[in-house]
Amino acid sequence: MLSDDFKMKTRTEEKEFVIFVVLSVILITMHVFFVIFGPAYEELNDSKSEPTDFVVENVTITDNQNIVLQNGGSDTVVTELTSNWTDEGWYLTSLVVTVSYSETATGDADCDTVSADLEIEGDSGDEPVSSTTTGSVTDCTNIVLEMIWQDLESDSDVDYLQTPFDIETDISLTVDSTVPLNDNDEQINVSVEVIMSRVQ
Amino acid sequence: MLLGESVASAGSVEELIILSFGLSALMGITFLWLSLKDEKTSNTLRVGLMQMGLLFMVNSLIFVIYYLRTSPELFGFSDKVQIYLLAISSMLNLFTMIQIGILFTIFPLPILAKRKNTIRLGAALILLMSVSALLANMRFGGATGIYLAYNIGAVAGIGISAFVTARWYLLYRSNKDPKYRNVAIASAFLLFAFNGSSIMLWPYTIFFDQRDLFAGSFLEGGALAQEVVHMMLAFNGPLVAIILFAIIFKEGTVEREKRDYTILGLSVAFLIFGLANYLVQILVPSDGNFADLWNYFVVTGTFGLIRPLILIIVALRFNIFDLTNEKIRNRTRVIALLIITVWAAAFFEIIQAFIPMPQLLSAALIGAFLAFAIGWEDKIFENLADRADEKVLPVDDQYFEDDDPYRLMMLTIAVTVLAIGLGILSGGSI
Repeated sequence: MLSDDFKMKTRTEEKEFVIFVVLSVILITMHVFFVIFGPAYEELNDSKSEPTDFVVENVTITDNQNIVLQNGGSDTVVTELTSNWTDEGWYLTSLVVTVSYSETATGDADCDTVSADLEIEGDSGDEPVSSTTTGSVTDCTNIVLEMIWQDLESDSDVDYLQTPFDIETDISLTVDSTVPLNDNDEQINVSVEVIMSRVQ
Repeated sequence: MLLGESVASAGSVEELIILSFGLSALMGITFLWLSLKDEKTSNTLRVGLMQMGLLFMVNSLIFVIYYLRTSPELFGFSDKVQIYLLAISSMLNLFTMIQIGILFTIFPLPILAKRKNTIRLGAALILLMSVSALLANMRFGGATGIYLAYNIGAVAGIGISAFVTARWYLLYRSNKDPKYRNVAIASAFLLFAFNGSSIMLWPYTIFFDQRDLFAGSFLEGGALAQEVVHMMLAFNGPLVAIILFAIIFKEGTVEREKRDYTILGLSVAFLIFGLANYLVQILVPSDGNFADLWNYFVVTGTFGLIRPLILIIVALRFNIFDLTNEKIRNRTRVIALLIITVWAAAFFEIIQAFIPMPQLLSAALIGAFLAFAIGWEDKIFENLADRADEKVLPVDDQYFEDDDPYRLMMLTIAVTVLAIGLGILSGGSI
């Protein structure tokens, strides 16, 4: 059936072609086992099946409020996020509240005690991966409260908080003073930084 | 994703498709005309030439469909029409794979002893194409069915061409008879011409890397390309990679008087370009414009430019048409000039995509290139005419019948219509 030119020849003449066939069979077998059916192929398929061509967009919202408290007084700073955020695909992924103050009384060597308590009212979701919701200082340093959720991904199964919700920071003050009758109207700054994220 | 859509800045994509179409059509018509008109040359060579011409004609039809697909808004095509065009072009691509397989069974020498057996083998390959397309469509339907059918065609077509080339080349490259050495060299040329893009994948085969090389191909779309790459890497990749190294080794070690610098240069060029391409794929971010552009032109360059160039060398060097006939020689020279012009324009289109330059400079470079090319063409044809009556391949003049080139052409037209029908059938299920 094969032409005379194409038919099998002597062993010497066929040597190179036999080497070619053997090498090809070895290489094809290796490819079949290691690439097509092997772990490399599965890894490739897994990586290909994962949607990686998404982009996470972040936006940072800040809110600064000053409150004035007297000894033993307390107040709540409220930052509201309206419903249209979630309507447009945004989710809360990070919240950082920084409470700062300084000793206002002249010549007073003793800082006041400021306490802060952070909570969110309106929606409940999964717990943040990192959370510090209460804090108290007596040395005029900042109180940093935070709630950080897992990074947003396209196929994330985290139940992120949805708007509308209110971020409430309760602040209370106890005056500690070395100057009698000279420590009122303490000014406290509350800075709220919210990061909203969405997948594009 | 189609690259034509993603590289908006490279407005040359459509122009390159038009130029590639022009080049394919010119090559196809020339080879067809020579095969039908030239009765002095051996029928075996005429049938081989006819098959190459028909391959170019089907390719030019594919280029027309690509053009329609890249500019749907120009023709007002709906998404459904676009899907049908994709399915038809995929089926025509499948058919060209089968055509390549058939070509290697008849050129440079028929691998079967009798004409009847060659016809049966060709019919079996066409049957394989039709049955795989139908079964894949029935079993999987839609794009998956088309992909599977194309894979089967690619494995069959490239597999046959690689196996036959390896046999001719390794068996006869060191033969004492120069005609048989020419068989080895001609088959190697043919392999570079038709499987150049597969040969270029050699680093992926050797390094067991499955990166999606054809991501930028506008030929079939990403999903098909991925499957094709996997199949080709597993089955055909090792074959063509080993042949590439075998050719380099053989040309590097063969006796001086038997050495062929053209095939040596070509194989080294494919080796280096394959490595460069691999480095681009792993080093350049895959989502950048450069990577898209590179991928696109690697595919289009080997498919649209290198293939015609190599086949011109094959046709002229192995005397597959009668250059002693002055009428044929003169017309061939005119056509050669046309081909050189279109090729130069397409080549500079690629250069411009990477290195933007003013139109005037580009025109001047094309002019300078053509001046050299025309001088080269004159010299080549004079040399060819001197040895035009020399028989350089050991073909049996009586293997095929006189009417076989014509019959082959008619059959190919019929199978092209069948492939379009299979495309419409497959497109309906996407």
